[in-house]
Amino acid sequence: MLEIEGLQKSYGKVKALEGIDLHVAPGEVCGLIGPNGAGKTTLVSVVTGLRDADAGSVRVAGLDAASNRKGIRGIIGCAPQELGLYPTISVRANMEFFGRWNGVRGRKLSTRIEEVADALDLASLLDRRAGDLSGGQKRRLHTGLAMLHAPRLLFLDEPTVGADVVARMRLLEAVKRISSQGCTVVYATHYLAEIESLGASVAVLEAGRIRERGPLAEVVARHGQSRAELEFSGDAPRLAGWQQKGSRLSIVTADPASATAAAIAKLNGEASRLRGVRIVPASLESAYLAITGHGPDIMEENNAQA
Amino acid sequence: MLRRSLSLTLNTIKLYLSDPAPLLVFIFMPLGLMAFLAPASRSMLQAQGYLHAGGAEQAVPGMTVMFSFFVIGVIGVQFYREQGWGTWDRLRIASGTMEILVGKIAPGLLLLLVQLIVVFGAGGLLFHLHVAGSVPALVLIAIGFAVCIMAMTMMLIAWCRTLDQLNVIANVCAIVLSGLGGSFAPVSALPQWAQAAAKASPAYWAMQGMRGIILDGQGMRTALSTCLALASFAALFTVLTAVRFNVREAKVSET
Repeated sequence: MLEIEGLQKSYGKVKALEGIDLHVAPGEVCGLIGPNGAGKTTLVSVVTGLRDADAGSVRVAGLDAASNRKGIRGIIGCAPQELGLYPTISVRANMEFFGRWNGVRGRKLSTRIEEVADALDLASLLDRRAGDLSGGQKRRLHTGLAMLHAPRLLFLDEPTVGADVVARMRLLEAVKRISSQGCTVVYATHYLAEIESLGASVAVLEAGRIRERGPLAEVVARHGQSRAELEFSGDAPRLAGWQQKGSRLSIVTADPASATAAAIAKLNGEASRLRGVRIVPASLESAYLAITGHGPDIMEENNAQA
Repeated sequence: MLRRSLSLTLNTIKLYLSDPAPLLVFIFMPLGLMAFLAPASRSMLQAQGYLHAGGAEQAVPGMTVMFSFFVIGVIGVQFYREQGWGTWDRLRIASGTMEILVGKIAPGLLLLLVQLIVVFGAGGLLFHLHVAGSVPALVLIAIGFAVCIMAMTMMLIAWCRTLDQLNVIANVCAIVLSGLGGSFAPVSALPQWAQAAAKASPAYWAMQGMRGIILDGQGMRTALSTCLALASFAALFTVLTAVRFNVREAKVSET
């Protein structure tokens, strides 16, 4: 559905994209993750035609984006990172306009407005002024505006920023639903748990390059690091192979349960000071940190602070 | 393309109506000013030999022309806000530049025409304006002037990065160009240097055409020559717009 080859984009001397290759299959949800400034928004901007690429090619549903911009417009939907809605008119008026702007009219438009409003829990807000909505409600409307014409390829750039837990769940459900109906979704986010919830494939973007690409399970299997932690009262004892930091012992291992059992057996008299055991399975978060070169230390520091 | 541009036109009109205060100010304020200026204009016109003039012959077209320049800011807001509201990119993702421009220029032009006709019509009725010449010729000049002001608006939007810049320049233009063009007083009453500079203002050509029809009983020939002059200005503004306009340029709508 989306084929990107050798895509490059620079802003002056700053290289935002340095030869991106990315293929996304029809119906696939591709989670685009990476640190701030990695190039996620630039990639979405180039593919949706907001910016021109310096080099490389983009094909959408087999159409070359550079020479068939008009042809792919109806195929693409996009909710950019920045909110885009008219605050001085109602939610319904926003949806009516952007539906028409994307070529949906008449009874079909009314039906689509109802469907999208229901899916994103906006039905009771249709007659409210968009500017009077809360941040999360605006974000849902912003996302819904990109779905009105039932695009075959949908770009969502950080769609849950500012959304509360329920709104986030609603949105994820809506993404799953449209994906099951055949829509391809490119989902840029910093919330890795959302990628896991969507069961999306993963593309890790860093410094303008794709560092890793594949199904979620494979990426986690390749790079994810499971670990075990033992918490003691007072300073933790020293144990071969384990890292000691204050009251905590930790180890990164493929089999944290066995490592924990072996460690407890070696504790002898120190076992009475053991206060807690924690086994952390490999996750997208640990895989992401490994791919971006941060290792497990930052997670341990984070846990220690928590 | 036309259906899409029409939907943007209707939406922009909806946005104008959602906040009508600026437009209402620029309709009622010139009517108020006409009340002050008409008596002074009567003496000036009588001194020029129009012995039966009531003053509305100068004050009504003068204030109409001047306040058309002020509407540049009202139209400009709708362009800059599209960027401030994040909707400009949304429009661009789904459509080409021409569809967006047509959809935004058409309501601006309509707004200018409505303002011109309402202010001129209401002023004419309230201050007993007698048109000695052809009324359709006056309407033709109003259309030509609206096109010229719209072209000027697009030029200012192309060159001004911020809405504040646009508003300042539009307000200065409103006072300087309309003053030079004879909106406050007939050009013949201005200093020599100002009379020489007056022809560089579109307001001068619009005022000369309107005065010719209202006071001297002229008709379509005057309207056509006036529209030709206004079209020349519009063409110049359009070239300057084309030189600078970039649909990708980020505009600043808030300070």
